[in-house]
Order: sequence, then C-alpha cells, then structure tokens
Amino acid sequence: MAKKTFKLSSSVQKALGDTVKMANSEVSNLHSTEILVEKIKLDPENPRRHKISVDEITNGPSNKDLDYKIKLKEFEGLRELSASIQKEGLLNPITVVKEGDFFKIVAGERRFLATLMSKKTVIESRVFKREPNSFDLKVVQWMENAARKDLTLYNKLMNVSMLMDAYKESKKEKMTAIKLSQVISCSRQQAQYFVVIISNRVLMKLIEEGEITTFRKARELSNLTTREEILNKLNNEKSQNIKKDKSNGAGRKREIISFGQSKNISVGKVIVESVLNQDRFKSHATAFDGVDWTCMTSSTKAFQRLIKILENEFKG
Amino acid sequence: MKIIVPCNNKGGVGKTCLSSIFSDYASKILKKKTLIIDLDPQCNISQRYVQMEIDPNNPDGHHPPIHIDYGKDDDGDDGDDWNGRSSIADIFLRPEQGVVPYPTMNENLEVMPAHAAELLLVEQCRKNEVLEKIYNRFASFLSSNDIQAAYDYVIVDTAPSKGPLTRSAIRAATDIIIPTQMEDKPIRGVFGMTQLWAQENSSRCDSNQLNLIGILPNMFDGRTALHNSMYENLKQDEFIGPYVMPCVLSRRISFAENDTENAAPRSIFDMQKSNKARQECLAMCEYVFKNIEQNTKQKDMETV
Repeated sequence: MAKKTFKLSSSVQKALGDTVKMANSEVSNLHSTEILVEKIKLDPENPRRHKISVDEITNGPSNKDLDYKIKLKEFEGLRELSASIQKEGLLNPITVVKEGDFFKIVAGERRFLATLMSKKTVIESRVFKREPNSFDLKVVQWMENAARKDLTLYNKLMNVSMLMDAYKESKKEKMTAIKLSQVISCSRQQAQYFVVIISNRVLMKLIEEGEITTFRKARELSNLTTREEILNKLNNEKSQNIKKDKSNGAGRKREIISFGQSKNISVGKVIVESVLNQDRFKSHATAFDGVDWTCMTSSTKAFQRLIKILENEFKG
Repeated sequence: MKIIVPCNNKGGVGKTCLSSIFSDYASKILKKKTLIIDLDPQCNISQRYVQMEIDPNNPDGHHPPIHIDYGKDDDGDDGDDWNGRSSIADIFLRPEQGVVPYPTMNENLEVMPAHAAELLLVEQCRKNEVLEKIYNRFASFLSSNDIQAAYDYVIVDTAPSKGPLTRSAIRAATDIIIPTQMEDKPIRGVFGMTQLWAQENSSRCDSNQLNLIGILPNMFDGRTALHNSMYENLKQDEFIGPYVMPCVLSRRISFAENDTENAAPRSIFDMQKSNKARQECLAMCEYVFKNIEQNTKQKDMETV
C-alpha cells in the first residue's frame, strides 16, 4: 500500500502566510489609540487658523471681543460637530505627533475643539510611531486642508509655500514643480502655476490683502512683477467688464430694451411727468389724471401706458 | 513583568494545559513570582489550584470559595461590600473593588480565579461602545503598580473564543503562544489568532509590539503521516515557517493523568527526570522563556 500523504489546505496556508506578512510589514507610520484631551495641544503653525481659543470653547466667546462675530460663527459650527460627536462618537480620528509630554495636532483641529466642547475626556487619535520630519507633517496638513472650501486663496498658497520650504530643508534641494505635482497630486501645469505665483512676492502681497481671491485670476496676473502693473490690469479688467457689448457675442440676440425695475414710485412719476411736459405729448396728459402715485399697481399701469403711447408715436 | 497568553479560538487544543505548565515552570523551576489568571468561564485552571465551589443558584457553575484571609482583619479592612469571594470578573463588573489573589501550595504562585457566570456576562457583551473599554480594562488592571511590583510573570488562561475576554487578554499580553493540533480544523483556528495578533500590533507603538512566541504543535503523534506532513508543511512555509516552534508536546496519557484532581505528583515538573512528558515540557518551556527574553532584549536595543 502506498504511503499516505497529507497537505495543508492551500487556502488556509495562504491566509496564514498573508496575516503573518501583514503583522510584520510596517503598514504605516501611524498607530491608533485614545489620548486624554488635556494631553493634546494645537499646532500654532497650522495654516488653517481658528480665531476662537480653547478657553472660549467652554465659556463661549465674549461679545466685547473685536472678532466676536467670527468667533460666534466658529462657535456655532463647532457646536454642531460636537453634538454629532456626542451622539455618534468621533468618526475620523485626529492625527497627532508626540512632543515631550504632549501630543501636537497635525490634522483635526476642529474635531479636537468639538471634542473638548462635548466634554469627552479622551479622543481617538492616530499617533506617528516614529518622529516624522517637517516635510511629512506638512504633506499631511496639505492633504487635510486641500479639499476645504473655507480656506482662502492666501491660506492655501501659504500652505503650499510652507510645504516647499519644508522640502527644501529636509532634502537640501529646491522643490521643482514636477516634484510638487507628485506630492500634492495635481497636474504639472497647476504645480507650475503654484511655483510661479508663490515666488511672485508682489502678487502674494496683493493676494494677502484680498485684492485677488481666485486662483484663476492669480494665474493670469502671475507674469506681472510690479504692484502698479498688476493693479492696472485688475482695474482695466473691471472697467472692461462694464463696457463689453455682449449683444455681439454669444447668447441670444437682444431684441428689446429693458427699462429695469425700481421700488421707488417717484422714479416712475418723474419720468412720466417729464415726458408729458414735452409739447409733443401734452395732449396725452389727461389720460394720466386718475393715476394714484402712491399705489404700486396703479403707477406700474401708468408707466406701461406711457410706453405704449410712445411706441405708437414713433411707429414707422 | 511579562504577560504570557496561550490562545486559540479552537477548544481542546491545550491552552489550559499549557497555562499550567508555564505557571509551574516559572514558579517552580525559575522560582519567579508568578500569577495565573483564569479568563475562561469554564474555570478549569482555577479548579486546578483552588477548590472552586458550585453555586446552587446558578446553572452556569463555578465560583471561587471564600478567601482564607476573609474576616481575619478585625479592623474592617475587608470593607462592607466584599462577600469574601474574589474573581478576575470583578475588574469588569466592580472595577472599584480590586481582586485579592488566592495562594496556592506553591509559595511563588498565586491565582486569580474565574467566576463562571460573571465572566460569561462579560463574554456576551456585544455593544461596540463598551467593547473597547472591556479590552482596555484588563490591560490597565495589569499595568497598575501593585501588580507590576508583585509579579515577574503573569499567565492568562483564555476561553476558546475570539470574544471580549480573549481580546482583553491579547490587549494586555506581552507575549502570546498559539497551541494547536496538527490537524486541519485546529490549524484554521490558528488563522483567527494570527489575525488578532496582526490587528493588535497595528494599534501598538513600535517599542511595545506583541511578541508571537510561536505555533506549538500539541498532542502530536509522530507515528501518524497526518501530523508529520502538516507539521512539515507549516515549517516549510516562507512566512509561517519562522513561527512554527521546533519543539512539540506529544499525545501522552501523563498530561491527562496530571490533570485529574488526585494526581500525584501535582506538577509535571515533580515527576522523575527520566519521564518523557517532563522532558518535553522542560524543552518547550526553555524555548519559550528564551524566546521571551531574546525578544525583550531586542526591543531594548531598538529603543536605545
């Protein structure tokens, strides 16, 4: 009789091997845990800044404060998030890095403030296992902030700028547009624009002042170098916008003149009266005797009647 | 302090047997202060060291006897709440109370017995928000200064499950070992445990990784082609191979005999030196405790 042989089921063997591989491989540089909230502190360099302070989270902002309105808005927003944390718990853990006895927030400032507000004592966190370099930290912050809608253009650009500085510091070489596009996953062209805009100090100053608020505009102006040139071009564009005759351009051709609307009855009254004062139209004045110039409906009808009369007069 | 946990969600593969071998080895041979904790509602290992009582009012079985120290302090130190019985289930259900370990015949070995009904209560918990707390409760109990100072080794006997009790034991453990028979279904159980091991490690920092001592072939019958070929199969696998232990515990009547209530001698290590079972256990324990020591050294090196 042949000797019996047995084999481990291949699926079990594969599954076992896979888990052992998984356990030994370093999946990421982060591990998840819970941390006491008092051990957590904010990162003063985070590009997204809250006006509201940790004290004001518990007591509410004071109305004597200059930034009261902004703070109140932030406070209300945090309260919504805090209610959901109380109910469902924190869905996305915050990311922190150990700094002495404390943990500094890399990403998740709002989630942390809302957790404080919900009076929880611990917060779910992902902690860097090894100390990350400043470049890695900036990349995490970029990822966290990139998709935000409430970040201004300036904040967004400063975020990229800090990312590039951190790269320069850790790698001892300048960050090229190609490298930037790989790190923040955008097109090379866009990365190129980032580099150009950020290196244009005059332009950045104007962006900080709020003169330029969209990336598209900043891109168009990025080749200008003096303040005057940029402001001129900006103002030119503004006035051009008014002059532009759109009737020759795209869209349906305009066939009527619109007189617009007004909430002020006197405007209509003045127009009607001044037309009727002309010798040519005086004969029509009697038709307007019964108009009540305090009633919107009556005034509108009178104005429409005047237009009809004028159209008839100029016919042919 | 080292916390060693034999675990496998398959029953009858030798977790309890291994727990008692380890606690005997650590306390008798190494002469270290050892604590054995029974997290298995079946209370088997508690029964081995403490005369457990059967609660007539509870169909779920055993509970610890009145502690010998109970009532000895006349100054009321016992507190009014304590009923004289102490089990490890207290840390889950009455965390404010603490657990009083029971002494054994061996002066280096103490035991925190199970309470069948109460452990079952914990094991049946399925509420997600409570589960994390249960997992952590046992770990924080063992990390308290009192326990850390009192013992060199803590051995935790676990239930054959992947439930809250086993998970808490793994959360607290420094080292785990997976005993299994070299047969198809028990080996499938090994998979469940390696998964828990991988999961646990992903939530621990680098300096505190959970050490998998290895997969121990138990009840091994070297005369059968099945056991031999399964063992060879595992050993030769690229990834599992390094974790398959070179030593085995064979299927021997001595182990079963030793488990009976009036067994003499009480411990495998009290048997004659020529006894095969004793020799096997000794070799296995030497391998295990050496592995633990090496792993600790490695961790220390890395932290430096």
